[in-house]
Amino acid sequence: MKINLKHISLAIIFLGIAFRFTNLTFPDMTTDEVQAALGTSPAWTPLGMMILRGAQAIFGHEIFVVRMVSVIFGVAFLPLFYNLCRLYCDKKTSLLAVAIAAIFPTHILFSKLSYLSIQLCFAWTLTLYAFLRARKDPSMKWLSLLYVSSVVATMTKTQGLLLPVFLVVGIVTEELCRAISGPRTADRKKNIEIVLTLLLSLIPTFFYILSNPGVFATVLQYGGNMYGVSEPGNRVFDLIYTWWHVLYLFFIAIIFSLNSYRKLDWPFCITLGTGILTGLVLGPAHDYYATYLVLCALPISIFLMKRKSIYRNISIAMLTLMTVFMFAPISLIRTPWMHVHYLSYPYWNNHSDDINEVLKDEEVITILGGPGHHVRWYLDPQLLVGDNMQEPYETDYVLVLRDRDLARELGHIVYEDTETSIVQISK
Amino acid sequence: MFIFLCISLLLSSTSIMGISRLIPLFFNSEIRSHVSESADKLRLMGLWLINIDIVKVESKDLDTCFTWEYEYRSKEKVYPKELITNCTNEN
Repeated sequence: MKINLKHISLAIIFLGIAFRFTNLTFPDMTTDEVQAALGTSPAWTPLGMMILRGAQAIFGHEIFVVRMVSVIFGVAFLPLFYNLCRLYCDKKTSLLAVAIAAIFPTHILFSKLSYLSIQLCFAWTLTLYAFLRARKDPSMKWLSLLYVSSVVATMTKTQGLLLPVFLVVGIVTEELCRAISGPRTADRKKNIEIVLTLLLSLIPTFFYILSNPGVFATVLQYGGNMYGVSEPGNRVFDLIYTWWHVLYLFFIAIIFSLNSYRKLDWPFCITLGTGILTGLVLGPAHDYYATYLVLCALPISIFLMKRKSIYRNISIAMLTLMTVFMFAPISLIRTPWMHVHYLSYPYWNNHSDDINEVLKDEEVITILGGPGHHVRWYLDPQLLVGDNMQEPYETDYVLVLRDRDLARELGHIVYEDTETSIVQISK
Repeated sequence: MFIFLCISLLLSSTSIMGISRLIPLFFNSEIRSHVSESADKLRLMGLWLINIDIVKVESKDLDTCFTWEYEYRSKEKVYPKELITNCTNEN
C-alpha cells in the first residue's frame, strides 16, 4: 500500500491526540487551574467553571478528572476544525490542517491543563463555523447552532463575548460598505437575522456582568497595568516573545504562511484576531492566550499544499519532531523545549499529603508568604491569608511559604521542607 | 428570534434578580467610594476576596453598612456561607 499525504495526516492526528493524554498528572495544579476547578473566579462567567465542578461531582476531586475535561475539549476540537476547514478548501488540505492542529503545541499544552482557554477555543470555533453556515443558509438549524455556540462562548469565560461582538461589527461594517457602494442585496435579510441572533445571545452575559461586580472589580484592579493598551511596543514584544517560547518552529510556519490569509475571509480573520487581541490586551505574557493560534493551522496547511511534496514532507516532519520533543512522556525523555510545567519539580503533588498529615486535626490555619490559589486545592484545612492580618494570629498553626527565618520567629516548627514550614503558635 | 429572546431572558433571570441588591452601588458614588474600605476590612480578617459577594448595602445617617456573603471552597469541601457585615464608621 502506497503511503500518501492522507495516511501521513491521519498518523499525525493520532499522535497529536495521544500527546494530549501524556503527563496529565505530573505538573502541580497552577493558580488559574485551581480557580477554574474550584469555581471561584469572580471575573469569569460561570459555565466553564461549572463544567469542571460537574466533572468533579461525578468522577471525584482529582487532578486527572479536571484535566480530562480539557483533553475532551481538545480532542473534540479536531473534527470541528475539519468541518470548518472544509468550508474553505478541499479534503486533502483540510485533513492536513487538522493534522497540524493536532500537533499544534499550545493546543496540546492547554488540552492537558484545566485552564478555560481550551473550552473557549472550542466554543469560538463552533461559533465561527455556525456563523459561516448561517451566512450561506440562514435556516433555523444554523441560526440555532449560532445562538447556542455564542451563548456557550460568552458564558464559558467573560472574554468569550468578544467574538460575537466583533462578528456583529463585521457584518454592520460589511453592510455599510455595500450601502455606500451599491443597492440593497438579498443578503441584507440574512445578515439582519444573524446580527439579531448574536445580539440575543449576548443578553445572558450582559446581565451576568451587571449582577457580578467581581468582573468590574477585576478589570479595575488590573486595568492600566496587565490589562489595557499601555506600552504597546512592550506588549507586542512580550506577545512575540511568549509565542516563540511556546511554538518554536510553528511560529516560523505562521510567519511563512502569512500570504495564505488572502484566501481566508474576514470572519476567520476576525476570530483569529480576537484571540490575538485578547492576549495583547489582557496579558501578553500569559501563554494560555496562544491556544487560539491553533486556527493558524489552516493557513499553514494552505501554504504547505502549494509547495512541492519534498519540501512539504520535510516541513511536516520537522513540525512533528518539534512536537515530539515538546510533549513526549517525561518518563522517557526531557528536552529543553518542554514547557516549564513539565521541567519543574511538582512540589505540591509530592508534599501535600505529608503537610496534611501534620495538619489533620486542624479546621483552620493561617498561611503566610503570598499564597496562590493552588494551595486551596492541596491543603485540607480552611486557610486564612495571614499576609493581610495582624498578629497575634488566631489559629494554632501557621504555614509559612519560603521563609524559614520568619517561621523560626513565630514559634515552634513542627514541619519543615525546602518550601514550607509549619509553625505551632504558642498562646 | 422570539424563542432566542425567551431563552436569553430565562438564562438571565437569576442575574436580573441579583441586580436589585447592587442598585445602590451603581447609582450612589458615595457608597461606591466606601466599597474598597469595606473590602480591606475583610482582608484584615484573612479572607480570600475571591470567594465573596455583596448581598446588601444599607445607608443610615452618615454610616454605610455592607453585608458580604463569604464562601470558602477547597478541593473536597464547600464551607457553609457566612454573612459578614461591616460599616464605614466602625473601628
